Amino acid sequence: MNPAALFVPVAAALTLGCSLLGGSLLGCSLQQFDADAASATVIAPPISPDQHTVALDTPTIQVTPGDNGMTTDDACEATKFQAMDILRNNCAGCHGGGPGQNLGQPAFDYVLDVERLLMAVSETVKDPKTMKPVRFLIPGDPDHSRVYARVFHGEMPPMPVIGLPDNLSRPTVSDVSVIRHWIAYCLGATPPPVGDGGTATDAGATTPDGGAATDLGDSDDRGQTLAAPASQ
Amino acid sequence: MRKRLHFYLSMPVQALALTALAACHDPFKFDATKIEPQEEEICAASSEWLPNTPGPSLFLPLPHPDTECPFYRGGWQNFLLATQPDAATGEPALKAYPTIDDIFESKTPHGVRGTSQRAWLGDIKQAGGRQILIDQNGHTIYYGIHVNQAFADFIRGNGLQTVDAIKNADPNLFFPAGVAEFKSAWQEVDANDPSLFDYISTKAWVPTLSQVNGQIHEDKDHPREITVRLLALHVVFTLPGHPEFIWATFEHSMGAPDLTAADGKRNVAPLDPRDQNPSLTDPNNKMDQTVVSNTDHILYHAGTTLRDGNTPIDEKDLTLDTATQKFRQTTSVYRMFPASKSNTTHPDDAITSLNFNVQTLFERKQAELHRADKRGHYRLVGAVWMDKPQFFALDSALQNDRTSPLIDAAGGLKAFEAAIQQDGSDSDFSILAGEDRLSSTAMESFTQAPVSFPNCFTCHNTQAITAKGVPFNHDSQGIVLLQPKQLNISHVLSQFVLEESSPP
Repeated sequence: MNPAALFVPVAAALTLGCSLLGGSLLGCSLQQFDADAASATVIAPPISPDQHTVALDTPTIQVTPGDNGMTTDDACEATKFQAMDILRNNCAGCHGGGPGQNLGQPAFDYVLDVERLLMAVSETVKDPKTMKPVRFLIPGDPDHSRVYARVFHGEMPPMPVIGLPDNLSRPTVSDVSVIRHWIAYCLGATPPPVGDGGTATDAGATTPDGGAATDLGDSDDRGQTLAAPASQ
Repeated sequence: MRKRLHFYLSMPVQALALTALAACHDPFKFDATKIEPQEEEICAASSEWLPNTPGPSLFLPLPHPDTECPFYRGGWQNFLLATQPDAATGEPALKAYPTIDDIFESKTPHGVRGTSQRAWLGDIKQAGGRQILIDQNGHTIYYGIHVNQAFADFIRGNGLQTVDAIKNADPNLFFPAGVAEFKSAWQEVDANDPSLFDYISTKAWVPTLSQVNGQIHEDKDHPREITVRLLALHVVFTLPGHPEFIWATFEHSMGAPDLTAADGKRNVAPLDPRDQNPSLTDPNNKMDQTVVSNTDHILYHAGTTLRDGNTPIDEKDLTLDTATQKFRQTTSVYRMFPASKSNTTHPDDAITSLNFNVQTLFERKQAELHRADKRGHYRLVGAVWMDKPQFFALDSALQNDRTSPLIDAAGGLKAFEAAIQQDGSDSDFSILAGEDRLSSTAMESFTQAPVSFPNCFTCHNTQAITAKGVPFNHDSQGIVLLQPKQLNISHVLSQFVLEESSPP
């Protein structure tokens, strides 16, 4: 038997008894007893100012929950982990490199391989400004990174079509925000902003002339790996 | 997030309780059970925050049940950064931050803000009801809206400097991590006011007020220069994964020790003295004649009752002396929700701990501080953000109400409402976290009630927005300024659109 169930009638009896005996006058009361609840909540007295613990060291960042969860002192380490988690949950089902995870023409199966993403360019889409193939991942420049642009514009994951898995998980705006920050600041190109009005900052979530954003008619990601981005 | 200590009566304890009942005539020996000491939730400050505050690191903190501390820390750090005294002039950094005048292109050219040609503060009519707050000296409170450079860069980078560009912006465009905006509330004081020793203060150009057919008008292009002190500051910032912003607010304190408002050092406005939140049957406290406080506060007149407090005065009933720029009337404001939470009057332990640690940090670093550094005289009241930011989406109310996407998960509307009523933003079914009844008494003075605009997201969401600065569903007769957009979460853009739409 749940001991809490016993508590209710006992405490109710106490309350009634105290009330009959002028309990409040006698100082006979229960601490914040809620007879409607299955259990009672005891609120301990607040900690007095001189009892508070002084803590002046920057806490570590908790990346995964739980006492044994992953922690780090590096904000970008946390962001990288979270970004990869988002790609794993929303993109890897088709492009992760596992069995059947190589959709696209040519096959795109390395969405979890950051090094390859950094080298890859689109085989079919060019930046209208530079007329060079659009790159998949450009450190510091999410708007011109195809991985970001296609997700931001809702082109990837694609809407339901025959031949593709149903009920594709789609990244939320919050997820897209994490991906954006990861590309903008955590791939080594630009130090994170400090928000003090003086440093270079992430200018926004899209640009009208973003090369990748202009490719609305291309239904699949097509990529190839080049030796070095500088040569593209 | 409050740690609750549930306890269960074992058989021996029940026996003890029955014995206690029998002994109830003895007032000093009754003890149904031992109350365990409260476990302290520690939220650290960072020693490197003083004397020169670095920029915050940007990461996505975990949601409940993990600690809310990183969000509150972000609020404090952004506060310290924005109010950092300039090494040469002692002026708060905020004074140099971009304003609406700086980041947008008005179709009506005007002078440089912060000069005799253009006011730096203003916008005296509060969001929500467009009501005017008047201090106990008859002066209105002047407000400022400022943004950090990342915000300004975002506007420029996306070509959003004009009304047309804002109206035509991609509805799915969102604010990236690292942007921040600040809304400040300043009170006019005498330049030699001795209280300035305890306040962040500055000289400011404010609009000249006039009254025409009962309506109060602000002339920003013919401002007057006055001395002002900072009463309260909203600190609003994004993190990765939190495009909805974290909405934190600070208010002035008379000094340490001040960990919570109950310490009695908050002198902007008093708390509801009953230590209870408004009831469902009297959500505006209009049936209660309890005197809130017998002590004058900056925005509260001693002896005002709950019923009479937080009551705005119709513009047509105000009398402005244009020579002195003072009103004949005053308003009287108190804090309706003592802990800014819907389900408890106990402040969040993480906030209390963090305020303690920041207070300790100021004490330890006193010798290193600029002589104009008054940042230690302010305290974090609370903050609100989305515990489940995955529900941040276009045309959403972002509230724990009938629009919540978690009603089905809770087992229906009744169960959902019961869960929210019981645990507020700590409920598993809450999409919000932090203080879900958070208002600034200096900025949302008259809209604190649960039937009004009781937290930041009631006004700041992604729905269409009207000229009153509120979502269309709160003002269905109002003029729509902007159609649903994710950028509507900030009112910096809509405020510019409103100013451009208003007659000079």
